[in-house]
Amino acid sequence: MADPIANQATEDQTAQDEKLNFWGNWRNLYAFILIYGILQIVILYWFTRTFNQP
Amino acid sequence: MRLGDWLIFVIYLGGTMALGMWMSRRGKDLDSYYLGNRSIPWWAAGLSVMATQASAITFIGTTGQAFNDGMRFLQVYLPLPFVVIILCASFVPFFYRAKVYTAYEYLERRFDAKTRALTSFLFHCSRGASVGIILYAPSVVLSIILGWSESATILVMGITTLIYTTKGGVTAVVWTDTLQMILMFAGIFVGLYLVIAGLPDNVSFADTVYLAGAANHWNAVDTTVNLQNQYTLLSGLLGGFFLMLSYFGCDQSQVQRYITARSLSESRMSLVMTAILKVPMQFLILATGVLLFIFYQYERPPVFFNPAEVRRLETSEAVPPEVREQFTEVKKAFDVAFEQRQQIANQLLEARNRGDAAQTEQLRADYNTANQEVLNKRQQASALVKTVAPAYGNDVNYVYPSFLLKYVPVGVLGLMISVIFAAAMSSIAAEIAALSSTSMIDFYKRFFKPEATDRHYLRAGRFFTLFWGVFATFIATYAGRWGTSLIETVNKVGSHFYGPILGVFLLGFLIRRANSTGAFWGILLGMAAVLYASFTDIAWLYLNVIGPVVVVITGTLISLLTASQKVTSDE
Repeated sequence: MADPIANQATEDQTAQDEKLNFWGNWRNLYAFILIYGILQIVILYWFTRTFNQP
Repeated sequence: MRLGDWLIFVIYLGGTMALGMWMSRRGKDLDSYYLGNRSIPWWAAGLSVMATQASAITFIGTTGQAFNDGMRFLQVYLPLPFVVIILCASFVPFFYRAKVYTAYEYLERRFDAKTRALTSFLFHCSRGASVGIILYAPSVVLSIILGWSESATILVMGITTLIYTTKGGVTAVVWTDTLQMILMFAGIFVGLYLVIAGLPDNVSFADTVYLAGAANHWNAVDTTVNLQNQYTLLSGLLGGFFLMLSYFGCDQSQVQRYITARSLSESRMSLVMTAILKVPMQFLILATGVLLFIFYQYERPPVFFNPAEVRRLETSEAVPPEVREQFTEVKKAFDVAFEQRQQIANQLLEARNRGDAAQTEQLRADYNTANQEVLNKRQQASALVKTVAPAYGNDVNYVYPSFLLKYVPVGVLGLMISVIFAAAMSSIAAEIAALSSTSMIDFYKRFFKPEATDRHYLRAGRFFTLFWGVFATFIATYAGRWGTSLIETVNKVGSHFYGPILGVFLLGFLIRRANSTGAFWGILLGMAAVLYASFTDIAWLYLNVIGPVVVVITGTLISLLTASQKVTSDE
């Protein structure tokens, strides 16, 4: 981020914040959410094509 | 309502107030009143985020909208998972680590006090208007179920919510939201079950799904490209993206929820919960409306769902006799159209089940024609209502409550009324708490009384909470006159403000060279652009795109211009 206001967290705190017990780190969870979001659209598109037949 | 219903409803109301008041004992200073002492677990903060967003309008207006024209509104929520990723990676860490009370405090640190004040003022305008609407919505339910006046129901709802919100602040709000959201989830499944259970025995669920599809009601994704079409995949992904980014990232009513969490990780997780659950939840609510559409093909509905307006047309001496006669004729024609449609629907199902493709094709076309005929009669009835009561010509908000009143067993009606109350109270409490915090922190403490004790600020905070509760009640008494689907009204009003507010945050986050002059004038130009666009035919969702784009572009240009002018004058 280009925001000139410096992030207040220390390096240790940032490293701590990035850890996740189940997912390992936040990037993994973001990847899951991204795939989930795309799948939602795909599934709803299929749903519309399959069941909506005016 | 019967005794069993009243009992359940009173238990709900009493239980919520008791929980809110018990949690209020922790509201001893400003940190506990506005930040919950940053001690809220992620799942409670997450449920509170969801409860804040899902108001009574979600249950009443959305089901009615799906009854009328299917699942299209779902597309607005499709960008939410992508928005949550951006928020978790950027906005949330900024707000959480900056230890702000309001989202707009950041803007003074980044730009200046006037930019903060202007943005906070815009928030006050948008929330101040919408909080009245979401207080009005459940009064629609009660006015037909209990036979109370809308004013009485507004007062009951407003006062009960205001008591624990004023006393306990954010802590009370978050924990009552948690209880209310659990109740809402139960209500979604119960409501869906009730509609399905009400279908005739000779019509299978597969037949129901087929008929709804034949009537173009399973239209969850519309891939057409048309800027005038309100709900398409494009408007959802583009307009909905910016709407959600602004609402969850820059709106104090949501920011206040997730900055109460125990840690940055838990703050993020509270939003992840919304990312996962919101679309499925909305799908189920919309599906309830679609199934209600099929239910009312086998149970004769009223030609117009607002019984008070039907009664007025039929009995009031103020109504011209010719209008009354016309309404009687429309009712008769509606009954005929209803019978014909039911007949065709049965024939269509028979043809389909015996595998007669040619006949099925023909009957599907006839079925669509029959649906259109029924819709025409409803529109004629609506037009007649508008001649005597212009503000009450749209009955979309009465469809689901009408079903609950007539077809739901004793006890369950009380539960469903409690669900609708829960949805309303959770949103109202969150909005009032957010308005109170921004009034107190962004204006009173910042400009009028910067040096006072915490005790003074706590008292002032409670005063602001009370003020906004009374204001919301006042607005609610007039919301009914606007007469359109309330969920659309809330989002349309918000779309005038969400875009410019998001724009100034994006300017601060993304454009290093943006300065306070650029930010301030950028917001004003963004507002002007949105206002201009709102008078065109463009779908309102796109207003959420225009706002931030104009703010970022003009804000950047003005910043560069004023920076170079400053350099020149320094030389």
